[in-house]
Amino acid sequence: MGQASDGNDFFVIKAEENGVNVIGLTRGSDTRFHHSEKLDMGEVMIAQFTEHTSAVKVRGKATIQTKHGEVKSD
Amino acid sequence: MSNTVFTTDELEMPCPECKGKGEIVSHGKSTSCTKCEGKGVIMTGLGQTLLHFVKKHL
Repeated sequence: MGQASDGNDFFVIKAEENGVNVIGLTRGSDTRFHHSEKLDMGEVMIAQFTEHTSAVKVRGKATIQTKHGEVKSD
Repeated sequence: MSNTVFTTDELEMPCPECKGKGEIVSHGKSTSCTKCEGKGVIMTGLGQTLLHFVKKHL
């Protein structure tokens, strides 16, 4: 675990305030929002890019960890 | 067993692209928001779970 390198890498989002939104965007020619998840302060979401989700948008103050490093959103 | 109360916020959120309006106005022209398909909202995982459950048992 944690050594995934087959394209199924996961990433971690930790909310640093209430009401952080994690929005999944569709894979394919049209980029739609198909899913949203609300995180309250301290809540953690562990996610992967999948057949259906090719991008993720994070709104609100959060810490995001990926294999490329850590980034903070405001 | 405790009762759980869901708020609308937990089931759906306003589309950040069209700010919940379902349409985008540019150059005086109004078009349906492509990000949310004109719904103005995006469902959460909980919202989708509840909708699938209701559809299944309705």
